[in-house]
Amino acid sequence: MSFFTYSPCETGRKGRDAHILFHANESEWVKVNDTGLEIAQYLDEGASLDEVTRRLCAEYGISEDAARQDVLSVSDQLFRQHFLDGNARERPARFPVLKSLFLHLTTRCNLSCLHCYMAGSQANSNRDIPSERVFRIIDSLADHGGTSVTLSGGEVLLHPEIKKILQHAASKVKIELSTNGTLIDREWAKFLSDMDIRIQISIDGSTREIHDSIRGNGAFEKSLRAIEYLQVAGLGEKLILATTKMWQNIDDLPAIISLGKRLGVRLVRFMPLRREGSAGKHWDSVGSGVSIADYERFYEYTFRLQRSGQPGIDVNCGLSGFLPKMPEKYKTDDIWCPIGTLVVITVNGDAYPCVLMMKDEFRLGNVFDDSLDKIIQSDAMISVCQALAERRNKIKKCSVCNWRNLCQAGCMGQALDNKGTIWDTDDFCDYRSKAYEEAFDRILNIDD
Amino acid sequence: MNYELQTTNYKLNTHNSSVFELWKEGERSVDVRIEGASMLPLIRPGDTVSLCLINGDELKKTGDLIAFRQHGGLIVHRFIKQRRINKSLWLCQKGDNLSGWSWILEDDVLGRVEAIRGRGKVIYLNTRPWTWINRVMGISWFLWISFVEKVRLSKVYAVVGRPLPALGGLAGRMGRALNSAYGYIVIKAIGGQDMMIDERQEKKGKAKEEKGRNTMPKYIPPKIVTYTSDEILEEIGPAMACSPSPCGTNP
Ligand code: SF4
Ligand code: SF4
Repeated sequence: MSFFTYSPCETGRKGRDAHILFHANESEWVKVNDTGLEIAQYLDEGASLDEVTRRLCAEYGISEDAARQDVLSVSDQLFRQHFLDGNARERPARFPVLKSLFLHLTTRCNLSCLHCYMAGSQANSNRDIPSERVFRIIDSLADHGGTSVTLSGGEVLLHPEIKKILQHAASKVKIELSTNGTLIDREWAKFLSDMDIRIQISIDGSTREIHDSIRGNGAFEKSLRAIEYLQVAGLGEKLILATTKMWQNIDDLPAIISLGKRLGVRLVRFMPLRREGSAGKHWDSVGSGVSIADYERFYEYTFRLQRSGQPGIDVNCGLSGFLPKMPEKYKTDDIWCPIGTLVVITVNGDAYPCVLMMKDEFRLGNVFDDSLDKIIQSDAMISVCQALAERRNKIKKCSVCNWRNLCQAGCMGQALDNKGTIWDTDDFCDYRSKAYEEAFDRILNIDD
Repeated sequence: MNYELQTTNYKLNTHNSSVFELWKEGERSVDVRIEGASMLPLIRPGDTVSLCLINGDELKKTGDLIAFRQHGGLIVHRFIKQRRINKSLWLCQKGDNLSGWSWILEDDVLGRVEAIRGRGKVIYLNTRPWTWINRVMGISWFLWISFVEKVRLSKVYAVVGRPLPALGGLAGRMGRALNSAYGYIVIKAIGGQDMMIDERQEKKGKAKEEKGRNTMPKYIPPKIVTYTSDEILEEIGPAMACSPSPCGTNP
């Protein structure tokens, strides 16, 4: 079977003459009417064009020419969308190819935020990756054809040789810097403006009270000042605000979007709170108290905002796996999760496939001992890529889900965080599923 | 080990996913129209089968007809035997009218066929002659498959190798031919009950069919539409891949 269908009668709503045909294992889908569906089914059974034509003639008493014309046009379009390719098989696993690195350069930090996923895990020791090592890693990334590196920490600007590292990296790859911003002064802003860099600044509240209650006194002012300096230095288009959703700010999130708009940044990104590091210790104050429904309310809000057409700023609400149409950039192998193309490295040099999967069972090796080549081709990486391809079929719920080739069972890192295993869905499957249903009902009802 | 994967033959034409839905909701029984030919002569294209929806482990005696998911479609074939590999239970299934067989995961099994309806007859598979017929069919296939597997694993096969696939194909065809002959005789001899006695057959459906025959349905030309990302963006909003640090940012 090369497709499955979603029809209005399944949703129990009015019987409109429209169905969605989903490709059996690719993200492609098309909308067809009853006759289109009928022809597609005949073709899918392996009937020849002539046979289908004959059947249509017999069934509706239309002329053979007209029937043939219609059959041809349907089969042509289906074929172009990869339907009808005969033996729809399990999709192959992604072949791991290194494109980017995520480096935790240092454990030093000038703040001690309640919700940090790193702090505590490395016992506040002041450890850094020595700069020569960083150079070597980045060189090797570039040699592998990698194009970007994310530098993070701790507070990355506290690495004793961060300027050298930035200069070196900038000459080879694109940089994304994730910082709390409190250390950026005029001079830093000027230094950063000279390179191809994106800067992500953590803002956890739209007001001083909220932000500082999470990140410590004075942090809000310093971060805002940093943004101002960066704006003046002409980096406005490259600025991103990042917010971790938690109890303290769950009602403040819309205000943070407005703040981002006021500050003229390009994107506000909302990240999930993780029960790790410091957040694990302070779970009572940051985590419990927020329910799944609270998050869903926020998703709903951002959906409405975006549909209204005028958010005035890019917003990434943090829900994964909602892609009613696969964006072009993911078309190469039809998987949106970048696992298999990136390697996350801790201060100890340990390598993992994703920041949300920094657990022993997913450890890929150590950059100090193994080459990046070996790490990217490691068995652990290959099996994670395998999991990436298989989750949608192996997780029972997903295997019967209409959206499985779009959602692809959601982000597995998030599932690991929520459920303790990648072989389950994350906490937002039900919500996402509803969102898809709404989206496709809307699509079924578009008048073409 | 390499087993031939056969192509999909049996599917629900329109609402296969609704079977899955029913199954998820704990519905126990559902009727499905069969369109393929891989279970000939027992199930003919156009016949309807009644599935009793079950969990994989509730199964199954050799020869039972089971419905399972494969490549997004629903298939009805005969259960032959099972094997546990690591933690998963694999079931060997075969279409009577196919020369190959394949192994599926127990998780993919949705139901067992209880009755077959078509051409005015209904066959209840859980009644006396049919439980036996199915058992015999199942055991015959079991023996046949075990034999072929043995051959494939044997030294002779490793040495001679090449000519055997052709032989295998021939043998497969012979098996099918025997099946047909046997099947036609048995079905002719025993047949099913007349549909009249079958209370479950909806008269409505029949009435509809008859009406349909008098007036040809109106032909509406097919329409098939794809949307661009921009159009979807306008209608639904942007795609949300993922937010955690690596994915949100890197290309
Ligand atoms: S069941 Fe949930 S997680 Fe799985 S594919 Fe469907 S929407 Fe996604
Ligand atoms: S598992 Fe999730 S967080 Fe990790 S790379 Fe994939 S989508 Fe991103």
